[in-house]
Amino acid sequence: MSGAPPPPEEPAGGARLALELAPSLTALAAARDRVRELLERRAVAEATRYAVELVLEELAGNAVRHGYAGEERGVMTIEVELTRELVRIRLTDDAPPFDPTVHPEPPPFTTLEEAPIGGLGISMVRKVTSAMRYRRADGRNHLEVEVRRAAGR
Amino acid sequence: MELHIHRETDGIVRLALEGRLDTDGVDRVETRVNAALARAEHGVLDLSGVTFLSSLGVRLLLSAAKTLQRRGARLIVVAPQPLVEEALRFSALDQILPVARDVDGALALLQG
Repeated sequence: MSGAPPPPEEPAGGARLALELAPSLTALAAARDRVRELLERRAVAEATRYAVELVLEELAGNAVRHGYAGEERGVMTIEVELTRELVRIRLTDDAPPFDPTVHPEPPPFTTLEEAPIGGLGISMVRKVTSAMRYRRADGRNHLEVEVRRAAGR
Repeated sequence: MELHIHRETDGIVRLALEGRLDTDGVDRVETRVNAALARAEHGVLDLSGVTFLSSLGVRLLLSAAKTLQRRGARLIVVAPQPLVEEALRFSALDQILPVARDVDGALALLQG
């Protein structure tokens, strides 16, 4: 027999994945694939998977692009916990303090001229999440986000 | 992320994107999208093959539409998948960018 060992026992309806990564877009893409694999394996609905990927792309991606500003030194962590009702995502990084929960909403716009270029990521995340909590501790940003699980596939 | 460019005879440029319009996807196609639309009468952007749209993808759509609008041209978005359409709604882009069900619908909007 060869190949990977069998996955560890997962609680009924729930599962957990903890990843540590360098602050680079390549490492983040690999982490996202691991998260997607888990969610697909656990038959999480497509709309929920989309929301989780949006959280990773916007919040963890933001930390890579702006927090670390291209410096690939540091350690980020991504933890995904799946329960019957929701997907909880915990992100930490050692970039400078940044609290997205108090980030202002872009001004409303009704015409193409008024629409701001950029700054919509956190706003989009707010619309697909049911909770977002931030704290700064031990020189790290800690962000906890919850996505309610949609019904169906 | 793949980009297909079709030039219609009346100066309308039709683009079809396929894949994920995220950081990496935008990086791969942004320059070519802007170049293809640089002298277009109007732009038609087929999103039916796009499976994921992040805020950077939204930014690409917005800046292309703004550039076209500055010279009186329009950008029509075509056939977004349901979750991509939802992302367009979450970013309020559906308020300001016309969305057509198919390419014919987009061309009809531009000629109407």
